[in-house]
Amino acid sequence: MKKLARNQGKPAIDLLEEAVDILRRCGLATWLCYYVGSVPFVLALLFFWSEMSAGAYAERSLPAEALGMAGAFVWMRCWQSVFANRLLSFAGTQEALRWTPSRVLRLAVQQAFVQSSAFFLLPLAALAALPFGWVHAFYQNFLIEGCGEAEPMRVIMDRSAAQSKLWPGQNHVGMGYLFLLTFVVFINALSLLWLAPQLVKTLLGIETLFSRNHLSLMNTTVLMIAAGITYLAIGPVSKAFYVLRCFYGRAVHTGEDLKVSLRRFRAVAACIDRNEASWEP
Amino acid sequence: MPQRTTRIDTSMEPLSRQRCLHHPERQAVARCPECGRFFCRECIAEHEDRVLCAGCLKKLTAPTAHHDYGSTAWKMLVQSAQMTCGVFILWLFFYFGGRILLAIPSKFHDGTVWNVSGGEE
Repeated sequence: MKKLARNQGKPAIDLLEEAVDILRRCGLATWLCYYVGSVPFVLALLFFWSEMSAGAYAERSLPAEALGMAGAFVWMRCWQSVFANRLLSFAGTQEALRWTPSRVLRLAVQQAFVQSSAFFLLPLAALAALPFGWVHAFYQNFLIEGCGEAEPMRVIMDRSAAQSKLWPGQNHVGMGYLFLLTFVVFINALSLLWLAPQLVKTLLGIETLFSRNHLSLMNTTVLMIAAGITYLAIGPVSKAFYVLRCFYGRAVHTGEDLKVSLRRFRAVAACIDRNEASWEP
Repeated sequence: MPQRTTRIDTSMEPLSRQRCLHHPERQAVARCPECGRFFCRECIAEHEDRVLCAGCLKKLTAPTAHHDYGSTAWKMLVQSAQMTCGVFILWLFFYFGGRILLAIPSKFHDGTVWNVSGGEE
């Protein structure tokens, strides 16, 4: 039975619940790491999108703006890696990483080199349907493994690939739940964007172009804003899910999860000891 | 990955007659496949489906010592090439993504394409 549990890993829903619990306890500084990276990228993407869809000089500025987007993407991935590693140290007993200039440089190189291929390999994997789960897990794991360690790229990629092969059932079920959650949040964000002009008109009496004509909200920029809000909302949960998968994957060899359980027992025992000492009949 | 070297003890003493290396008063319950010595139940642990003594487990799970992955100049060169390659691939993606967006008619982008059939509201 124990062997079976080890082969399949924790149920995906339990891992997602644990991911939400970790996110609630990890603190503002960890959350900031995620949003310092992701908000500028989402804003840059919205600017890029609106420029390309309506900008008068879009064709002329495209090469420079594409370079800016590439920089914003590397910036986002680096901060997401910092966020993921902070969550990992929070989940386990190891200390948080120290970010020296050389480590930051290696982090940027590792993330830029590997994550750039995701734009081509993920659609290909989705097209072939079957390997998508493994490829997606690989890129998520690389955020955790590629944290600027002074190792050859191949070693880090091997570790990420090994983690992505672990517990495929858990990975796919978890992805299914995350997809459902993403869909619900997207519909909610879209509804909010559609209802906001009407609410402003009803409550404040301010008439806008969007409250006069609902169809003017049927543009691609509004859809992108909804997608951006969804990404910012779901991203941390998705990252925390893969952080926990990596944590339990490593724990199969290191026993780190047992150390965490022992730490909890120690804290409870210390609390009981204190209560007994202060209790007087 | 550290190499596994299993030493075979030639002594044919049964396990029940062996004593723990660290606790001579205790009877041995296992033999470490790495060092070939006998240990009591408190001195052993399971690792990757093998029962190992604490010393060998520490050696196996210790982080690998400092590796020299080439000279500093070579490393800098490789890292620069990787960074350039990564940024170039990203630039290509966003450049062609932008081209596709430019190719889409502006009527579709601003949503007026939906007004054509129903007319202006």
